Amino acid sequence: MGYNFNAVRVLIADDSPHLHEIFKVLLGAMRIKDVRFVRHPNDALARMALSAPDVVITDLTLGVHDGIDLVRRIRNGENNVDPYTPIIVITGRTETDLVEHARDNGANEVLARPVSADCLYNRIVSMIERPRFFIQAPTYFGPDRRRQTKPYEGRERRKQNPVPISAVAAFGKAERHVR
Amino acid sequence: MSDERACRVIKPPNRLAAKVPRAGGPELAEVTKQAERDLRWLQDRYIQNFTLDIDRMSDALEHARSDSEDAVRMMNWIYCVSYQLKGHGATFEFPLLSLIADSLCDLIKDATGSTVLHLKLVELHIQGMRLVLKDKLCGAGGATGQSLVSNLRSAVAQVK
Repeated sequence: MGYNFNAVRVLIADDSPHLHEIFKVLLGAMRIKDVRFVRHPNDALARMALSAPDVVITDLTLGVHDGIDLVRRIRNGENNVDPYTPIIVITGRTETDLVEHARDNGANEVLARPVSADCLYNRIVSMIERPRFFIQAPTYFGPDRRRQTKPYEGRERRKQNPVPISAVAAFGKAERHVR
Repeated sequence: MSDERACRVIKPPNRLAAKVPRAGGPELAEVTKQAERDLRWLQDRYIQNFTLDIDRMSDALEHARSDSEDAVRMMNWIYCVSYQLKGHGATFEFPLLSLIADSLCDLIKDATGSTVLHLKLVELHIQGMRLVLKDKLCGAGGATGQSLVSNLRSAVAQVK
C-alpha cells in the first residue's frame, strides 16, 4: 500500500474550468477528496484564511491576474495565512526565466503542463519526505532554492567554517549572516 | 541593533507529513492507471470544448478585423484561449494542437498595434488547430502535422 492522502486538503487557483476537471481526476486518483477551486488570488487568500489547505496549486497566470502574485502574498502571510504552505506552480510555458521567477518568489515546485498523475504524486511525496528548509533573507522568503551541493572552486573568502544548513535549521531561530 | 543583512534558516513544521500516513493509500501504479482511465473518459468531451474554443477565437479574429480599435484587446483574448489550449492539448493526446497553440502564443504574446498586421497568420494558426481536431490528428500528427507546425513557426519567426 502507498501513501494515504485521504486527509489532505488542496486549494487550486486557476481560471480555467478545464484544468479544474483535470485536477479533480488527478487528485481523485490519489484519493484526495478535499479539493477547492478558486479563480482569483483574492479568493484564494480568503479561502485559505477560512480553511488552511495543505497544498496550494496555482497556475502561473490566472487570467489577467498573476499566479506569482498569489505565491508572494502567501509567503508574506497576507490575511494571516500560513506562509510556509507548500505551493506548486503550474505553467504551460517553460522558459527558464519564468521558472526562475516562480522559484525566486517562493514556489516549492514548478510543474510544466500537461501535468501527469505520477509527476504530481511524486512532487507531493517529495514535499512530505524531503521538505526543504525556509530561508528568510532581506530579499527572499521561501523554500531553500538550492537543490544540490556543488564544490566551490574559487578562493575561500569565508571567515568561519561553513555550518551544515541542517544543523543551523534544527534550532529554528539560529541566525547567520550573508556577506 | 539588528543587522539588516541577517538571514535565517527555518525548519517549518511538516504539516503535510503529519496528515499523510505512509500506508493505507493507493500505490503510484494504481494512481496512474486510474488517472489515465478517467482522463480518457474526459477526452471526448474535451474535443467538443476545444472546438468551441477555436470557434471563439475565430469570432474574436473577425471582430479584430472589423474593429481595428479593439484589435489589440482581441489579440490578448485570443492569446489567453490559445494559452489554455496549449496546456490542455497534450493532456488529451493532441500534442500537435499544443504546438500550434504555442506558435500562436509566440506570435501574439504582448500584442501591440503591430501584431494586428499579422491577422492572416493568426487565421492560419486557427485553421491549423481546427484541422487537427477535425481529422483527429493525435500524437505528433505524422509528416503532415510536423510540416504544418514547422511552416507556422517559420512564418512567425519571420515577423517577430
